[in-house]
Amino acid sequence: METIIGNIDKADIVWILVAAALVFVMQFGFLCLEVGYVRPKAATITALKNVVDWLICVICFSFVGWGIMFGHSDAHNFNLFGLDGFNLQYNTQTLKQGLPIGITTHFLFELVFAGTAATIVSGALAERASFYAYMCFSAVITAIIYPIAGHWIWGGSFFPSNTSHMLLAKHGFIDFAGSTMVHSIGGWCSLVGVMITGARLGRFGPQGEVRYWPVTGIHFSALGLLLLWFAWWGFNGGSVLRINGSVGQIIINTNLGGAFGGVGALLYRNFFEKREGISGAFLNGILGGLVAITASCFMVNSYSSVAIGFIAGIICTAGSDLLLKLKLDDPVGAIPAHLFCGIWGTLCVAIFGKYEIIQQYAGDRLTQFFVQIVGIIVVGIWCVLISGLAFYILKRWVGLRVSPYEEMHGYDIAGVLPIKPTEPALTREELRALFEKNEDEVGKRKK
Amino acid sequence: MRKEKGFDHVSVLMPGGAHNLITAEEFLSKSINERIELVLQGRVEFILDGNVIPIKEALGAAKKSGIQS
Repeated sequence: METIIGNIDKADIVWILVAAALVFVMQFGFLCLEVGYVRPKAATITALKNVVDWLICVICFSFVGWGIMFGHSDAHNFNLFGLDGFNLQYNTQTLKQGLPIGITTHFLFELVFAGTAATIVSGALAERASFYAYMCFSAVITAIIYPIAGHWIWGGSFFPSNTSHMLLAKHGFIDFAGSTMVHSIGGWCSLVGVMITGARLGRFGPQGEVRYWPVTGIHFSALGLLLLWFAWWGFNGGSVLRINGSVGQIIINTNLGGAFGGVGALLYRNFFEKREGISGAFLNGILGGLVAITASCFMVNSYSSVAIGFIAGIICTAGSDLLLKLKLDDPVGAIPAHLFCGIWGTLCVAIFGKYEIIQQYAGDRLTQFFVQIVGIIVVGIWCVLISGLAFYILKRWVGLRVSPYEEMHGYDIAGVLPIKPTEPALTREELRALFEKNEDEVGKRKK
Repeated sequence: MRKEKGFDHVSVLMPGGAHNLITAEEFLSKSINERIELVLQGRVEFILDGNVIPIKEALGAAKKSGIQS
């Protein structure tokens, strides 16, 4: 039985359980969004990756991540991560007086948030990442990367002995529902993954030109986007961790952010870039707007939400173009939507946030801005270091990609593949001769 | 223009069962013996402009015009 101190409000519990269910709908949303963006031959494996990263999240976050994120930390480990609450022992912490939802309800809500951060990476690595390497990385992000960063920001929010010790929260860093905590973490890991894994075969031509492949499942992506938008009501509205008068305004702000994200992307692509083919940019612009409003939705007014979303839509679209110029292949636009717009949203706390709330955190707007930047950098460095290490180890010993043949023809984990053509074998001597002649030719060219 | 390079990337099968994509230059920086072993073990596939090409075509084209590095 759960030990609860303080008053339980059943309405609060019901709302948070509903909100958790809504956030779980994000898994459906990401699945549809990604399946729609990738080429049909990769749809099956993309869908399965979205299922398996949730499965891994349930296991890793339940047994390890929760304890790291919300367990007690102390000076012995520099308050870097929690030291109890592992192995499904959710109730070892003393619930803070006044948190009326109970620890298991809170656990469920945090679990679906962790799943959201993990699933972002699958889209960025779609069509070429190895299924098993991706599974391994999902475990790393849900058991280590997300919970430890989470401990610095949200870890002390609910347990009195942790409050005022958290690495970032104690300085007044504000990230209400996770522009940095969920979306930027997923975005940073995606960026590192894309850089180390490499582009899809043929994405960039011999002269570095970008090849645009027809996207045939945009209707499915649109469904995914609407599911995500719906889920965001719970994502932001539930982050109050109770039901009160502020929830309605938070959901209104969320909607405005998303809507004007779409408007910003549409206008930017149509009038600034004057390019055809707005559908993907439009959907990702909405997503970027939703991501950006997430950090500040409880402390901005409706007009600020409009500005935050509109600028996020532009950032998302321009960010997609920037990635292509850098020869980084992100099939679904996860990096601009989640990382770039997550950073923008985190800064918006200081730019658009109500001053009376800022006074309760960093004290004044300029200091708050500085704190937000530091928070973004600290989380960024953490994610890049650990995900870089994880991807490096996977690349070194496991491999990160499917075979070129599987990538070209599509693949799924059941191994239902067309028969691979064979070519005549060469002897060791023939190979040596060929390679030596190559080296001679290369040597002559260099001279 | 495409024929100037025999291959631009090489996919290498790793011990863990998945593949890594390396550039032609990275592949050629390995010793000849290492390259031969990789080919004999069936662990490499040569890629030109996004397509897998037979090894003779990859190395033959490189032999004619040299691999740009």
